[in-house]
Amino acid sequence: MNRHAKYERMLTFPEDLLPDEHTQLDRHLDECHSCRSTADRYSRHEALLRPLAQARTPATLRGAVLSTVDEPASRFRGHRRRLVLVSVLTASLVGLGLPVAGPLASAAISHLPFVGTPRYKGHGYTSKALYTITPRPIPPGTVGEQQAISIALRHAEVAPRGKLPPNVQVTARFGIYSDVTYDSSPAWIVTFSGPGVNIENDDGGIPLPGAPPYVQPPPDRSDTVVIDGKTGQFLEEIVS
Amino acid sequence: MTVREMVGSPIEASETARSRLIELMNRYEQPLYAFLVVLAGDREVAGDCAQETFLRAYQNLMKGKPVNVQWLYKVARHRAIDEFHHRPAHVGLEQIDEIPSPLPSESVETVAVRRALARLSSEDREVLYLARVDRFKAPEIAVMLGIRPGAVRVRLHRAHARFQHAYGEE
Repeated sequence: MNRHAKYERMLTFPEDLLPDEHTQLDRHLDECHSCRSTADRYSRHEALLRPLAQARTPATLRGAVLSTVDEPASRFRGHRRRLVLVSVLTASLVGLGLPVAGPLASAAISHLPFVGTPRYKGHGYTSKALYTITPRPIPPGTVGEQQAISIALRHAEVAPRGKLPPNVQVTARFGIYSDVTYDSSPAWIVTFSGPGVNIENDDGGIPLPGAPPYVQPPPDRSDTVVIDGKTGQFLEEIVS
Repeated sequence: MTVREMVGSPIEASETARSRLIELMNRYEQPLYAFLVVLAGDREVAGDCAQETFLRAYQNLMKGKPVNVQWLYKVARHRAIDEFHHRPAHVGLEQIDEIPSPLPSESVETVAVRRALARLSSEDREVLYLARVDRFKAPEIAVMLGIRPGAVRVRLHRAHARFQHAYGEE
């Protein structure tokens, strides 16, 4: 990495720098026209991009979320309404001298639909904590292995834009996945490993005066993507 | 029923989760939607993704699990990626052909910025937006994108260069 690249990376998040790092950066900017123009470019881009934050939220969004959240209560109310309806109709029919029609009416009404329980689609968790996978036979209706791998490719850091570099082995295991934040769930664990996996690590920034020489951590050599076995949706990525 | 008994009742739990969801929406509904519009390039898709993200957040809150801003953005971006991959006429997030129709309040310059962003990959768009518009720090973005903070800095630096190129062509 050349000297400028290091300062250019520092310029990406100057507010994250320590005071000593700031001083070094300022000193460098005083004498480096190239990095100064990079800093100007970042500021200019920020000014251009900021108005994008003004997008107006659809008026229906909040109502749609809250009405779905409230659905279980609606279902309960619907259930009560149905019981009242059954009772009234049955009593009326019995009262009219039609003892056979009562149970028939009840049976017919029992097919009135409940309001469906809301279904939520699941996606990633922030946790990169330890996880466990308990191997299980693949039940019918599970996402296929090849499909799981192709979904994992879309999310894997090792495969930018779904393209896998050479010398990467792909393995897929099926089982019950769980970690500290995610419920146990049938899942495909797709692991990308081998010499082709080379996920860049933090460069550590500029060393502080008097600090021991920075040792670049080795790149990550394994990328694991967890895919929901039932829905095929992304659950988690673990880079190590 | 005593107060102690009421605390553990399902209705109480549900109401707590609901009120916390509303708090989350008060704070993050608009910024999350604006981020999704840039990422997906489509207001309708952005609305759907935001809706499902908040529903998922509610599900977590109901289980007593924490939901923070990094969680919301991470879930939202994966939802946006999945949305495009599930479309019949599959168009990747990397290939946004159209930008959202300009709002009356948007300047010509902002429309040009949207057009330039649409030419970038989703990885470039999201890191530019999260760092320069929402002003998240590198470690926060790292959690959202599932990469290292160092990789965020590298990605952002490269995204700036590509944005400069794309915007310069406008």
